[in-house]
Amino acid sequence: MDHEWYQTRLMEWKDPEFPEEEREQLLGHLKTCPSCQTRLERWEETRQSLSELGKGFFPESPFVGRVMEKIQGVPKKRSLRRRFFFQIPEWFYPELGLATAALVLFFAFSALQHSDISLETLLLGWEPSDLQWIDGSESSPMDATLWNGEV
Amino acid sequence: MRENRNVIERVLAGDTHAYADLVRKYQARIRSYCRGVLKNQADADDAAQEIFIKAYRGLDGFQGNAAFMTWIYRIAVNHCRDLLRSGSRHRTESWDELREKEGDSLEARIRGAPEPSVTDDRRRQAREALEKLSEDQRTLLLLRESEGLSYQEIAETLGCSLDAVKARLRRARRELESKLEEV
Repeated sequence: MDHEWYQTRLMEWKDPEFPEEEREQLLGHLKTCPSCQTRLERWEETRQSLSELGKGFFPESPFVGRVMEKIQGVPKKRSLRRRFFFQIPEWFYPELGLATAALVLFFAFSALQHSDISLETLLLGWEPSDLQWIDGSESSPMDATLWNGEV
Repeated sequence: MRENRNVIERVLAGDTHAYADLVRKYQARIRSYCRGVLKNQADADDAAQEIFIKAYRGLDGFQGNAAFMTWIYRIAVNHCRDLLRSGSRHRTESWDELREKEGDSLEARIRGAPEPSVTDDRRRQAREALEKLSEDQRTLLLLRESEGLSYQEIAETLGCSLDAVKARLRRARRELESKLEEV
């Protein structure tokens, strides 16, 4: 490992995730490299400055009280969904809805194809008993009236 | 983690007051993070309150396979990002201006005695250099150096891989170092 490599790793040496073996090698290099020592000292100052950036004395009680006060009026959302679909991942909900709709349509068309009820009957609400046979084809009472010239 | 799970179950079962335990436990961390991003303490506290309320509202969406801490940090990161993008929190107030305005009371709020080797000038430089970084790099450095999150926790918070965190953090640190030379 060369000087360049150590330079890239200098800023990580205090990370708990930094491999112990590499840390030892880095420390060995630092003993002999003044430029890396200077760089590391500067970084440690920077790191220390960063660690202090957000820090302050944050009194707990008024903050907790204020949050809890606001929460009293906040409704919890989607509790029903959690109760019934607890195990189903959220991304699956649209797929579940589409599958249900497809299933309903499939059964509706299957039922239509195997019944005496025509699409016209279903959509316009005419009962099969209302249908009459005119000129060999199925027609409604209104068609029969028109056919017979009664209007 | 189990302890948090119990508290969450109690809240979901209707015991709203149990949520105070979670707020009490994480308020310093979240307020500290918000303070690091938004700088102004009042804005940071407002944001932190909103974050805890958001977390409460979405508590039943919390899957439990992640730690509550990384989950709430994720809400905090997104919330602060939205605030900065919407411009509702003006970023014009510099650290120095804040110090000038709040004087000793601000100093009194700084936790712990500063390291003797770190001068005020160095802190100002670090702050200024940090402000010059991209939003993502700033977030990453704050989570790591200011909040002390592990690589794994950062990965969970930001929703990226461990390798991505390592690479991005290395880049952010190098970028900060180069910005410091410009300051």
